[in-house]
Amino acid sequence: MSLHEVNPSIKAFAVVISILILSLFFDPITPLVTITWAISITFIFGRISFKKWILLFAPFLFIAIIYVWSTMLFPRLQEGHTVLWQWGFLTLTAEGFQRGVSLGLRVLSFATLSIMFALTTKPTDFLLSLMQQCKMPPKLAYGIMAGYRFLPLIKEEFQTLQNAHRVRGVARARTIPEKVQQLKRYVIPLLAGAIRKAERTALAMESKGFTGEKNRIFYREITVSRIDWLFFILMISAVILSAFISWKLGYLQFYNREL
Amino acid sequence: MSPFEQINAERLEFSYEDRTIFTDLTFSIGKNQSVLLLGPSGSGKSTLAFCLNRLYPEAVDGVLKGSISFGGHKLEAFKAGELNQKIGIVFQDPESQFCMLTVEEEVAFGLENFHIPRAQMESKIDRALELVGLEAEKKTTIHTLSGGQKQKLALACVLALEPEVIILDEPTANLDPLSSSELVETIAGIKKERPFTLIVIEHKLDDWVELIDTCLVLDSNGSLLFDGPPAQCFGEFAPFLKKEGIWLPKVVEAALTAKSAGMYRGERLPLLKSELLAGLAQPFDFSKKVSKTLANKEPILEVKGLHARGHLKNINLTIHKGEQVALVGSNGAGKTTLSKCLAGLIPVTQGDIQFLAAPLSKWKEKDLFQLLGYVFQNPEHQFITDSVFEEIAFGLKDRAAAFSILEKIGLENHANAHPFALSQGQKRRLSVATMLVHEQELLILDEPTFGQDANTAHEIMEILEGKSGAVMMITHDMELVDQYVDTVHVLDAGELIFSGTPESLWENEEIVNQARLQPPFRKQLQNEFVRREIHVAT
Repeated sequence: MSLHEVNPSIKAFAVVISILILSLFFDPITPLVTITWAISITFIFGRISFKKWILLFAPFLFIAIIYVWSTMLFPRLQEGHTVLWQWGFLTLTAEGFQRGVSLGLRVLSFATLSIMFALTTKPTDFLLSLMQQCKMPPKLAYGIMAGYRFLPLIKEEFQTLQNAHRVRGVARARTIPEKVQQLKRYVIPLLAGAIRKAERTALAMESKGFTGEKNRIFYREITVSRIDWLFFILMISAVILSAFISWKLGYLQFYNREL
Repeated sequence: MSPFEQINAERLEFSYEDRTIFTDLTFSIGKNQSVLLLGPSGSGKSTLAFCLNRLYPEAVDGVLKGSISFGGHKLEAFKAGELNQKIGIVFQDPESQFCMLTVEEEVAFGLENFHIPRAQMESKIDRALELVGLEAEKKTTIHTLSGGQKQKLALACVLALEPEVIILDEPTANLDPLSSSELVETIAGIKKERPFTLIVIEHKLDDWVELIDTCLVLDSNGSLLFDGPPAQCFGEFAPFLKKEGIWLPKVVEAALTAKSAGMYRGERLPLLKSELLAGLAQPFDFSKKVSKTLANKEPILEVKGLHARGHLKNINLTIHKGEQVALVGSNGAGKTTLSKCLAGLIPVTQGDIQFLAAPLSKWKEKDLFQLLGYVFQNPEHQFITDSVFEEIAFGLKDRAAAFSILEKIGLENHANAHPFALSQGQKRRLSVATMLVHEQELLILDEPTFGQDANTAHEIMEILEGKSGAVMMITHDMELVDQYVDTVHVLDAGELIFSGTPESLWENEEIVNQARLQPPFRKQLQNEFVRREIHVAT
């Protein structure tokens, strides 16, 4: 079995439900077990290159560390909290530490699940599946697909524009009015170009008989099989199992507006 | 209506935002005919094509008067999308006519729209790809294809639907000379095997003339100037067409020149090379540019051992003061990348560029771009102000001088217009003119005549000829190279494989083939003469 072959809509559904369940709890163990689980299946069944994965994971790790630091070192002090360490205005309490770690791991658990989905799903497959399983209107789905193809083109166009203006001798903007003026200079041709490209693509799609009609016959059928549902159940069970382990260890805590 | 007439247009008039694009067009097209639709830029050729398969007027807020019928039924009588299966279209821009990621998905997209049963799709896709010679690329991602392959894919998408009419809207505009010829050959071959009605809008006519049996000509006001066989169209009306700024086939152009020199005997201008040769009294040497012997061989730009972007390899070249230089090569050979390196817009990984005896990297940007200009492919990218006058006056100390430049490029009546509101040809002239104000030592242009009608192209070349500094242009147009250029550099797969005069390039058949070029018509004709003389002698 490979994660790439799981039906994209069901995969997305499993991730969303898992995240919803995770958000019910606020303790360090539940997300930690889920993270371990998500990372293991990403690498075992997804065959993802570690470099790609860490590139996506790094920003979340950074956010998580900042969360942990700030919650740990600036806790809401309440009576009965055990003070572990104190230095000047900085106070570290056991409760604060746990809250910080819980929050950080929570962020990372959402991230690992989402990255698992993003790295094992082709955008085209996801859109095809959304149309075939979730009745997404083709007009919207093919619109998104065309837009997705545009992104690199627009980036390229922006660079060309910058170069073209450099050659004209437009000095680098320094003051705020200059920057506003510069933005205006960029926006008009970029928008004009994007609109023209979009119009052309729309015209081309229409010329191939695309009317946005809902009953299409798809060349590539994205199927749903028992394995897909098995994957779904496995994912949800894993999250519930994480909560169970946490409960057994005596850490489980429901989320109670701690943030 | 006679039974074999397939498309019938009566008193067509199209207006858009209070501007009439074309008016009073009445014509009919028979089944399996090949029609060439001609006209200067802005005469409404594409608009007419889009009206024929009813993409217009719905897609724009235009008003279409008159009536069009297809196979005896009014276009309005067809259901949405129904007509698109019968009338297919291939667009000019290879980038923006696809919406899927891979080749097979893109061909399938059209089939899906028409509810073709899934069991039949595979074989239809294979058949269409086979017809255009892309069967090996079935699973390839579209953006890795070359420009020529993309246009073949666009054609395959249309062919898969087995339409009765195929419209081609400047399908070779973005292609190098050899890819263009190949595409036309492909189309001619398919048409023989599986007849369909063909409507072509095109600037470069040479490859098409043998395939075409009818010409429809629009003038700059969008009225029908001519409707009839190409022999008559070009044979009798060539001078009118030329005045309208319509590109002529090179055979016709050559015959016009020969005729005005009293060297052509034929009654009517020829269409085929063989007819031209038969009509010529004696070997006629069509004028060409004599490469300037540069009295003052002072180099202004020297490139040594340049590598860049992992694509350009060990480039060495020199541009001299006042020299007219062309940079040619196939799609994707690295022409634009090299030109941007020379202008300091792209960093160089290795090697040395000297501009006016100082390393390019040591120049201050402000000073550099007073002496070195670059005209981008899309003129809109270079406009930075709100009026035509300000565009020219930007950075000029003597603002009064701006007016004389405007007069030179014929835009004095548009001084207050917004640059984006100009016509395509005017935008191009303006973007070139903005680079002339500082009398730069070197001006680099990326396809300056791309998509222009014959008149605008000549105007631009005249502006460039009258310029004092050196000019380097990227182009696919070998006639341009032959007529205007002193030195030509040939790029192939990131390597500079030839530098020399155009004449010496045409003599070097190996290089011409390797870089997917074609010698200019003058040279082709000369070779033909030589061949015939040998034939007569034996």
